[in-house]
Order: sequence, then C-alpha cells, then structure tokens
Amino acid sequence: MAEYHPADEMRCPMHFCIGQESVPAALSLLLHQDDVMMSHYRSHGYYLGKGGSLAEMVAEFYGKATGSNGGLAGSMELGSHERNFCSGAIVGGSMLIPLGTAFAQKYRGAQDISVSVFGDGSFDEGIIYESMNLAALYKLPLLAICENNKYAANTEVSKRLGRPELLPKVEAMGIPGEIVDGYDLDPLFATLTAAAAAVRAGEGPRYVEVLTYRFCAHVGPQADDYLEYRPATEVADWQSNDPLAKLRAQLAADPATGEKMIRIEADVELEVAAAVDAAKKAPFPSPEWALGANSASTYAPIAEGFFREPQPVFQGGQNETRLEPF
Amino acid sequence: MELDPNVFVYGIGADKKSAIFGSTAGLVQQFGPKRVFDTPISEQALTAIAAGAAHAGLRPVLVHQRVDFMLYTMDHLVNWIASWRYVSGGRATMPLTIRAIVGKGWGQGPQHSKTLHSWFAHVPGFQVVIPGSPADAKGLLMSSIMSNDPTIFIEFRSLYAMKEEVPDKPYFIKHGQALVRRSGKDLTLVAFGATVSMAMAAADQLSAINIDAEVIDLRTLAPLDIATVVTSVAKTRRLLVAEMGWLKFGAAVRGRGRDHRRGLRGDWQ
Repeated sequence: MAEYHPADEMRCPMHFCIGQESVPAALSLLLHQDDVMMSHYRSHGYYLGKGGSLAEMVAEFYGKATGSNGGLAGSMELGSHERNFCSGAIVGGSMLIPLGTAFAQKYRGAQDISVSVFGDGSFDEGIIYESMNLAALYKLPLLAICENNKYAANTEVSKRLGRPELLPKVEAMGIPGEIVDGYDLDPLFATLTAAAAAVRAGEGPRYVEVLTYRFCAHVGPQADDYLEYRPATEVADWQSNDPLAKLRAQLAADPATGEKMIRIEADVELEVAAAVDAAKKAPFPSPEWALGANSASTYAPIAEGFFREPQPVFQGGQNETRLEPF
Repeated sequence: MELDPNVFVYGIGADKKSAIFGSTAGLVQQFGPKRVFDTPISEQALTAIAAGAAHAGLRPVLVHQRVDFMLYTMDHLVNWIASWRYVSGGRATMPLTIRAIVGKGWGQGPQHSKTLHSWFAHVPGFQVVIPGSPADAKGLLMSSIMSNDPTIFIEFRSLYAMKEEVPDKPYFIKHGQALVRRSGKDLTLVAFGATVSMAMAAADQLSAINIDAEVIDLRTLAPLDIATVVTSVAKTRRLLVAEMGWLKFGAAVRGRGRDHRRGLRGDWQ
C-alpha cells in the first residue's frame, strides 16, 4: 500500500503497522470467528488476522462500493462485519464496542470473548480507566491488549504520563496483566494464549501489554523521521531486532520452508496486485445508497407485525390532559 | 421486557426503591438483576456498553436521570453510535434506546434543566423522540426499544403527573408520524413534549376569542414528519412553534417547511 498510496487514488489517511506485525499474527491463531475484535486505527494487520478479505480492504482504501465498509469508512474505520472486526479513528475508542459485546457475551452465556487492542496513547484518555473499571466490576470476558510503542503520534510517553508505567494503572482498576516483549515470538504467543484462555474460562478481564515499535511514520507511506521526534538510533535498534526479518531468515535457511515461503510471498504479491486492479475498476458508492445507509428504519418483527394492522390513534384526552403546575 | 429477553434496562438507581422517579418501578422484582441493574457514575462507559451490546443484537435501555449528564457521552454518541450503521456500509445496527429526563421546574439550575433536543436531532443517525402525553409515551417507548436504530428518548419530568387513558396491551407508535391533536383553520400550533398540553390549553383559550388553532404534536423530532406541518400551514397560513429548550429547533421546523414546499430534499433524517 505504501507503494500505491502516492498515486493519490486512495484518499484516506493510512496508518501502517510496519514493525508491529507480531500481535495480529499471534491473535489470528488464537481467536475464533465469533470472538469480537476492535482495534485502533493502525488496523490492517488486525483486520487481515481476523480473517477480513484483502480484496475488500483494498477496495475500501480506494473508497469503492465493493469495499468492506461499502467505501464509506476508509482505512481509519475499517471493519469486517462478517468476521466481527471493527476499528476507529478516535484514540481510546477501541474499548467501546468490545466492552459492550463482552457484556452481551456474558448476558447470553456464550463461550466467545471480546478483544480490544489499543496503543499507549490511549492511557492519556479518561475513557480507558472508566472502561477498565466497568470491565473489572462486571467481570466481563474482555481481553485488553496494549501495543506500547512509546509514541502517540510524535509525542513520547514520558511527555504524556506523569508515571509512564502502564501496567500498574491497569492493575489499579482491578484487571490482572502482564508485560511481554512483542519481538520475542514464543513468549508473546504463550502469554496471549494464556490470557485468552483465562478470559474464555470466565475469570474476568485480562490485560497484556506488548512492547513493540513502529518503523513507519505515524501516518502515510513516507517516512516522518525528518520531524525528528525520535532518535535515529532507536529506530535502527528495533529494526535490527525485527522478528519478521528473523523469521524470514530462519525459514529461508531450511530449503523446505524456504521454498514454501517464496511461493506464499509470490502468491500474496499477485493477490495484492489483483486487489488493486479490481479496486481501481470498481464503482464508487452512489450518494442515494450512502444516505440510505445511515438508518435501518426498521423494527423488530413484533412491532413490524403490529404496524401492519390498522392503527389506533391515541388522541390523548384533549381536554382531560392537564399539565401539573410547576 | 416481557416480549423480548434481549431487552435490559440500566442506569444510576434503576433497581432502587426510587426507581428513577418511579419509571422503573417493579422491574427488578419481575425480571431480576441481570436485566435491571444499578450502575457506577460512568456515563461514557455505560454508553459504550449500550453501543457494543446493541451491535451484538441485545436491546439495551440506558437511563440518565438528567439529559445534562449525556454531555459526558457526546464522543460515543456522535463519533460512534450515530454513524455506526453508515460506516459499516449498512451492515451493522445499534438497536439501543437512551432515556434521558429533563428536570422538572423552577430551581433545577442550568446543569439539571437542559433538553438538547436540537443537537441530537441535527445529528444524522439518531431517532429523537419527545412524547407529549402518557399514551404516546408508552407507544413511542415501545417502538423506540423495538426500533433497529439508536433512539434518544427525552422525557419531561413535569409530565410524569399527567393523567390519560392508557391501554394495558402492547402497542407501538411509528417514528416519524406527527399527530394532529386538534383540528383548526386559523393557526398551526406545533408543539412537542411539555408544550403539547400547553398548546392544547392555549387553543382552548384562543377558541374563546374566535381563533381556531390546529395543534400538531410532532412526537419525533427525527425522523421529522414535516409533511403534516406543511399540509396544515397550507390551510392556516400561520405557523407558531412552541418548544422548551434553548436552541431554536423551531427555526429548523420553519426552514424545513419552506424547503419542503419548494420541493427541495428536506427529508435526510
């Protein structure tokens, strides 16, 4: 997408997750279709990890009617309704839906869980503390995952939080948690597996803080290091430890896996190219349809059935209704 | 709540003896604490619960003791709930209802008296309902809960003492259907909520001096039944909008009426 974005046919601001691929990859192995996941706006990895269609995602970036959100959301509010994934642009917003779907899952006695993924920037927002309190109080099946990359846009965590440690704040709200290195894949997967299992077993909410790093700019395909908000050595340090690069090297070293990896990557290249091609050719959504998408204008069947009968009109007691003096 | 096990009602004091000014009386006894419960003073997180639970197919009814407290929740309401169906490309719905009560009268002060109906009605994606009588309150609340769109249901507490014949059986009043409560030929008097009974009383006084007023109860501000107002004004040639609130929704009614007559698209709600 970084390659295609400069052509300016994709107008939505795009927040790439380059450097932060490990958590979505791990979750893709742990979550079921009926589990609900909501992420922040750095969502592409999570969308795909939850099983969202690549072709629909690309079409959504191009704002086309064939997109996962009908072309009405773009990258920042990307979702896959069928795969129970959603996201949004407001920092701290990604707790919103999972808090409620976790409530519904408990209300119904379901075995599914709700997962909320947010960044360290969310700890600047009051809603995170309020949501965590409620999740703990109601013992909701909520798995809260923080991708701590130390930056909220261009501002480093020590400039935003009087006390930069995040885990104690979560524990203070009543949710047990752990910190794990997002660049060490085995412990990361083990921690997420255990946390998800605890939530699924009905033990209440759990928090996992993943230490990770964003190589790319906060937003857009061009690098933003010219803004000089973080040391170049810091970026280089994390990049030298990139688990994706290490995994590729490991797979390439063994001829059997190396060959398979090359084939998979070639297939993905083709898939992406085909998705871009299809997206460019697809139509934009029509204004009439888009305006109609705003309201369902429907009712539960019991009310719809009632409306089909002739309606009694309650005029109210025209002279009997009295206003209580106040 | 009897008709659908997915309906639950919650808010500060919902299961207490005070029963939110009596409006939730008897519910926790009948339906139990899973479906009727008290909450912390966390309006925003409670609204998140409504949004997510509705997205998952439950029918939450969140109650605020004052409309003013909804201001904590404007991000959730406007950035998320109102546009949720739109941003999902028409796939998702949020069948939630938020009941919010307007303070009763003299002495409540600015932080316990607001109605904010204009703000909510101007945001595409909400239904905004303001009943003017007990029978309407029942039918409109039932419809709002069974509606698949998010609904803000504003109740003037000054109307809680109003008496009217209300049927026992379930019934639903469709949103977007204004009610002509009194037919007349000289003046169209548009009212909603607390001004409905005032308008009826005023119409009585006006008829004593030979002015025949037509009283229209809007019932729902969004969707707005502007056609009924326009039909009436075509007959009477005079329009007076009586509202209790501080932003001029009445101006919007006049403006939409003009647009409607000129054949412009005024029905985007």
